[in-house]
Amino acid sequence: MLDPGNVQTLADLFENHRERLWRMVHFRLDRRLHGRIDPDDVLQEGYLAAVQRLKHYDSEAFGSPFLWLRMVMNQTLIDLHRHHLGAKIRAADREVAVHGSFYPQTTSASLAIHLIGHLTSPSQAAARAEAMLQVESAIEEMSSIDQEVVALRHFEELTNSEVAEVLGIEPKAASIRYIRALKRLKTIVEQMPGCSGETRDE
Amino acid sequence: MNDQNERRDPLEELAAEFTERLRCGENPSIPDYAAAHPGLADEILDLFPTIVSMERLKVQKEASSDGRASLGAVRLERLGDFRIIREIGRGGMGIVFEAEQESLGRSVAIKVLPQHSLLDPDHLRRFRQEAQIAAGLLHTNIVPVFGVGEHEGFHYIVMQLIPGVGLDKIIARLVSGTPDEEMGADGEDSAETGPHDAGAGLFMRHMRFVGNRLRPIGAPYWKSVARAGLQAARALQYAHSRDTLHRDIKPANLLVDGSGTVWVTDFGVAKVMQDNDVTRTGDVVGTLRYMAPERFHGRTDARSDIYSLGLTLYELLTLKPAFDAKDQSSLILHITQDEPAAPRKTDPGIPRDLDTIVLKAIARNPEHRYRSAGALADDLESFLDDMPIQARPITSIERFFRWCRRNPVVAGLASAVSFLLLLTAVVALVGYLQTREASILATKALKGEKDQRRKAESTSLLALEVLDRIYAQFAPKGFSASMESTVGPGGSDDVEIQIHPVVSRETAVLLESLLVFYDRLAEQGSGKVTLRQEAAVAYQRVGSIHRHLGHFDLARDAYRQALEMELALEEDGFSDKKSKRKIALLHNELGTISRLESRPDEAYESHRKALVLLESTLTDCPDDPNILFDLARTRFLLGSQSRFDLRSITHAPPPGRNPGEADPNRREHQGPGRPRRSPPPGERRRPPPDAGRPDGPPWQRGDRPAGENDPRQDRERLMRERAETHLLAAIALLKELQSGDHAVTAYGHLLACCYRELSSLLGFSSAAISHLSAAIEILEDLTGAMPDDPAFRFDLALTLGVWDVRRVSASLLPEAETNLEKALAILEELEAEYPNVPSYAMSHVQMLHKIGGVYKRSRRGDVEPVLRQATEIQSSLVRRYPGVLAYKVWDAEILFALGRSLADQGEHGEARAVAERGVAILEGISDDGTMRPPLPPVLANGYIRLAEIVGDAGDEEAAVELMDRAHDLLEGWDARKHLP
Repeated sequence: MLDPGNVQTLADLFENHRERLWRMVHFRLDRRLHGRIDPDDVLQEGYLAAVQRLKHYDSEAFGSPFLWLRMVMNQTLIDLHRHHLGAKIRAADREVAVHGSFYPQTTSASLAIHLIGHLTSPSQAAARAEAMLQVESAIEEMSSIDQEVVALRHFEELTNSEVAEVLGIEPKAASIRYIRALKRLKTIVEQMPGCSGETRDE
Repeated sequence: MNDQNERRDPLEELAAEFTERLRCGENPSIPDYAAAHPGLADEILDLFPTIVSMERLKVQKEASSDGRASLGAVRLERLGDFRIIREIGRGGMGIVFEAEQESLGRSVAIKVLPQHSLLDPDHLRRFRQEAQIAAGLLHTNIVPVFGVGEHEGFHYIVMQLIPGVGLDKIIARLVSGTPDEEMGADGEDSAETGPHDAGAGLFMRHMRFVGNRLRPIGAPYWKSVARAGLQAARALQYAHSRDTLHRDIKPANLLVDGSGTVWVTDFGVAKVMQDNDVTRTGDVVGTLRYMAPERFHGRTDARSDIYSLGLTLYELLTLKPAFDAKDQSSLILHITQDEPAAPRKTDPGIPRDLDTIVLKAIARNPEHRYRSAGALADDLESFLDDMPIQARPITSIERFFRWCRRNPVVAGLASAVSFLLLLTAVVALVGYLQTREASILATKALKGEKDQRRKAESTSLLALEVLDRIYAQFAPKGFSASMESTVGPGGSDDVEIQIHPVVSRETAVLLESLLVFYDRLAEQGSGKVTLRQEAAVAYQRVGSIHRHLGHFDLARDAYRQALEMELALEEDGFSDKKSKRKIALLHNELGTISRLESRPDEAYESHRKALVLLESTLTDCPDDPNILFDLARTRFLLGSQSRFDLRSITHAPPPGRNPGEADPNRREHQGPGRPRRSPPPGERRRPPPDAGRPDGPPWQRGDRPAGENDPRQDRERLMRERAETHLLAAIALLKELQSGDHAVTAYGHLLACCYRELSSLLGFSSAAISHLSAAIEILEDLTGAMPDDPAFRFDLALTLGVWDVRRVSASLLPEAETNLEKALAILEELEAEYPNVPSYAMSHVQMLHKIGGVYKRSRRGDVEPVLRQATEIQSSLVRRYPGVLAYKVWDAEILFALGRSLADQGEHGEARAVAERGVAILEGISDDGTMRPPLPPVLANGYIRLAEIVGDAGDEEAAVELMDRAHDLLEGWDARKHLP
């Protein structure tokens, strides 16, 4: 359990969830910053921030310690984006509120990047930008909560109940939303070139 | 939280478990899951593959996050027998660790591939095969491969540990020009830095501080580059002789050890990685940089490796990348289209022969490169021995010819490839202009200034010519006014929404970049007459480009600028009949802009000016075919202009609209006891064929007793007569021209367009039909003679499809049907060939819509599939060009037609859903604040169409409600009074 008076408990928590936190950072990191910022550095900075804030941690108010740590990490990430992207980040299309939490890059954009990122062989590269737009707009058609559910389940590897907690919805609702979002995704993924693994270059 | 809420979707619980197993590296079988849970079997089979895809995509993306390999969230400490000591480097394809093989007590290098657990068995097999081949390569300049292995989902390659450093690091250090503290510029390796910097020292030793930066000095440095190249080339020669391509030669894959030996590493890995789909996201930029251009077309052979090696040497010589670009797509563009500047341009100290060798190795066309790595090695050897080399430097003229050959006529903008070609042409031109400036500077000292200026003029004319050739590819000169302004939904229905000339996104980008060059050319336009004339042409192009981009204000400005320059030239006495033609042309362009902006009076005025000017010129040279042709074209514009005028008049709001009589057949749709406030939609939308006007809003047709003295009708008649006069005059001129020279295709083309305009002006009288046949005949001849010209085919399709299927008489219906089907076939071809030209797709949709209409009347074909196809194309157009209002309106229109057709078949449920989608689209447009004049009646029409369908289904209350909404809209519309 996370003890506000004991930094070691935080270190253990961090080590236990390091992979998932890395995934969160990697997933949410703005595409313009990939290559400039190493997710590992964000983790380190976030950890230090968590140490600072540990004394304010209150299990009553925050619920799951992991989600608290994730929140601190997320805040670190947002601060980093502010720092690096400055004014650009304030553009309306970049900052999207989903149930009170602001992500530096819209979840639909992050999802699209992850779905399309594999189209990189030379002959596919040209088609990539186009596909990116298509997939992004397909994802945008999903409700924002459904997008979050997919992102959290698959790219951040959160469990159903964690997803529910983050989004402030009932676990049952989260579970239904996940299945629905999966159905929607199926149509998007199926239409993407190269996704079935059959498409080859050369 | 009660129990009900706690219960999760059972499918979701299974999915969670399945996902967990995937993440643990298992490969759970989906059919097994389905069999174990028969109740959910269908959904499992349906959805679980998506889960697999998602997880796979995640791993792939994480594995290549920042252009370098990463093991994602995992940190490695041991791989079986291998204890990881430290990370030595990262490349796109993996992370290299120094490790100790504990059983043998030896140090090795291990390359760990980022992708794991999800490689399918087939890929795995090939990966092993390639590693086997690499392990079989034994050469003094190839890093020996000991074997491959797998540990907890990580695949790795074990290699000899080379105490050296990649050329990429060496280049980076040379570029930064600041040697590490430990390593002096004299190349003295201190023991503390370990062996890895030794290789760098070999190069560093030939560097000297120039100012505060290290620069290569003289022959020793160039020779060390050549020696490195020689060794790598011999390694490639050996590998190629064993049928093994490297496929990813780049500085990072050439290691240099302390003795100066070059070691090529990573043989064959690239191929496996590519086949794998385990592709390298961001890394692509890193690796692409050295990739031979032909590989972007999927071809690769030994000469591709030669190219990559050449580029590596290029970088070593110049200490800067041959192609530098911030993002991947512009990099690809550079590589496939650009010729890097000669290394000697960067540093004139580079020996000429070495420069020639490198340029030959990196020739864009594989045919121009060394035929083998051995030949490259031989030349490098000759250079090192101060012997003559085989390669011959190419002259800049040959360079230019090569460029021309690479850029043959680019057909349309059909694909991304041709887009790239076009952009390249621009890029090449920039290079050309720069070279030109440089050569001007160079020649200035030697030759007289006069000579220099002449040269500048001729090159700038050449530049204009090149630009024009590019320009002509996307903006072919057509005469079809109708191409740019399409009648609203239904071909002849209620309202017209102007479709601005739309260009694809790629074309828009291209146009924007062309603008810069034209602007630059235009700015040169002071001084000599030829340059001033040239500048005027450039402004004209600028105007035209802006017009294609829909920037009408800017287009007008540019045209006016061009006009002023021409007029100034005229004033200064440089006037000839040619400049008069130019001025007339500019007036016509201005007129076209006005028409696109719905300012018919201004448009007419501009075209009038052109007409007057041309006619005055004619008095001097009455037989000049160019002037006669321009005259015909102006008449054509005036003629079609009037027709558009006509439309804008008929769009006027309905003055004092009479509530029509209720249609007895439709009475059952009315809500009981509720007075009908608007005339029945059927009647309004389908006026009797003798309405006497080509088009008119429904509320006008038949509402007013014929013959009543309406000033608007008078004006209409006047307009029509005026248009007819112009068109007939144009036709007469063109016939005369044709009798002089039958071979000029433009005459026929314009003539056909005139006939078409005339036939649609005259409605579907017998005279109209004969004009139409004449137009078709001419265009069929033209397409027959020049089947590759899309402009003729497109005009032929438009002409064949000009029929108004709702008003054509029954006797002509079969002919209309045949024509429309022909038109459809042509448009299908065009759309397939030029998927990026939206007007082809749009016309395809319109043709399908018309065919639907004709099938409906003739009952000879199945309407529904035709309309479904149309919806598909149209929705994709809307998605691709969300900003084009008319596409959305058409999308809705097609949905209404489909809904109607479904309702007719008794499928009321779907009919209603489809029509509601149409209404939703229209409401969406109205909601976003663009409730522009044509929209209310369009939306009202939508409500009416939906009302009909809903009424047919028996929901009378909803139908009445919708009719009311339509009525209210039209009332409000009335009040707006938008008639001038």
